[in-house]
Amino acid sequence: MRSYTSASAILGALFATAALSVATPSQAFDEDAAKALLKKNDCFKCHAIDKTKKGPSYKKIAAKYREKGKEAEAEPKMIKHMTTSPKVKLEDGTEEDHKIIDTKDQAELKNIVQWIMSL
Amino acid sequence: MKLLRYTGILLALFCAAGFSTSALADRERNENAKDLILKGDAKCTGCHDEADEPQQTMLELHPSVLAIAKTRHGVKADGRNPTCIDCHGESDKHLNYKGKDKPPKPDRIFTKGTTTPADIRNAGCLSCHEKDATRNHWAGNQHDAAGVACTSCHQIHTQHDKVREKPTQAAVCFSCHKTERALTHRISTHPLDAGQMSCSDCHNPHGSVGPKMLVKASVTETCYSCHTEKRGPFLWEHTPVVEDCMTCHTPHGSNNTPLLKARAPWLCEECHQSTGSGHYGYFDANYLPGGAAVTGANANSTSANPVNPVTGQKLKTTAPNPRLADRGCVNCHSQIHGSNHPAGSRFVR
Repeated sequence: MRSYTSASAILGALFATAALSVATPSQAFDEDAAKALLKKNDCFKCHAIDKTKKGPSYKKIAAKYREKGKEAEAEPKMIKHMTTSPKVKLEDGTEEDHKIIDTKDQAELKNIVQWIMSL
Repeated sequence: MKLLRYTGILLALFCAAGFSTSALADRERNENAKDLILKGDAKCTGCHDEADEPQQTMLELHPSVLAIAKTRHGVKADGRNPTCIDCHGESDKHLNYKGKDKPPKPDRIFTKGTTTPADIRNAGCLSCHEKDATRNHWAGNQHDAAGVACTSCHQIHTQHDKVREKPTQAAVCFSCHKTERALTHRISTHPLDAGQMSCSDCHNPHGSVGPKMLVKASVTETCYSCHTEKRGPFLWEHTPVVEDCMTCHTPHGSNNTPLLKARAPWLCEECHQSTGSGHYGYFDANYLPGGAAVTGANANSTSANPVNPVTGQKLKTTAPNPRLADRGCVNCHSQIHGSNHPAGSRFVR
């Protein structure tokens, strides 16, 4: 009886794991590459994943696009933001030029946007 | 009525004082709210925080800004501890940069390739650490003269400073002192690789009154601090032992055990010339097999055709080179560092 119970438990656990792995969408982005590029460009000096620094957190940015139902606009807008240095208002109320990311590779930029939107 | 007026004034003063105190406390709390480690560090850690260090596992390889919290310099309760700007400068241009490129670097940079002069980099450290008795000879010492800065050897933002830990210290010193590194790989050396001692056991890299930045005033004093049995006092002294151990030994490594500059008898003969010291009699090479004296004493052999009286082998009439024959000086002179025996003048007992 005991062995039957434990076998059921193991099977259940296996089934649950399999179900979870099916339910999780396959990641189309490279998280490590995105973080490395952001780190290299000092983006984490002003942005954190889940903490407001001089700039909004990446989670907050992602939520802003999701709440407005404008996920489709996220990619072009964020890429423009990263590559054109617009004037931005910081959390302390002051303004400064947004840093320009040191890459023109669209694939790398899209990868960053996809990672942010996954948060 | 008067009492009522005084009470009102007192009440008003009390309220004002209470309000101002609480307002001040609130303001201070707000100002210090973002400090992560040291008082007033928020202006730096506002950007250089944990979010800026996504690869936490690399802390030891690339010391992070926040890792200073694990060190003595990160103890907030210690009022002597410097803050970020005490070492790195006010760095207004760095802090107030609003442009789109990378901001200018802080006033004082300590990383490799810095343009901040060594004396300016050292000033912050020396303002506290020069008072220490082991560091107060820094000014003018060889490292100072060579432009070596404190941070050339020390890592400040790390819990485990390599140069302050015995097993890893030598590697830091050897990054410049490459000859000494090569010497320590010879067969006879001090146990640096074994981690049993470190360079700073003999040398004081912060400067000293001794030669070669030794921890003591002389070579012999430094050596005696471990090799106490060589110190004496002895009834019969071997002069170089008292004068300078390095007359015979080399400290970093040698292929002649134990750390000898040359192999006996050549080492001994640098002072004790074979013709002058004279191992005459039985120990003279002439009395060793093949020696002229042996040959002459052999009644069964002729000078034209000498033979060894034991083996019957033919012998040469010329004596073997005494340098080959008399090579084990310390086989007999075992007390070469000094003797307390009444008859120990030759260091044989």
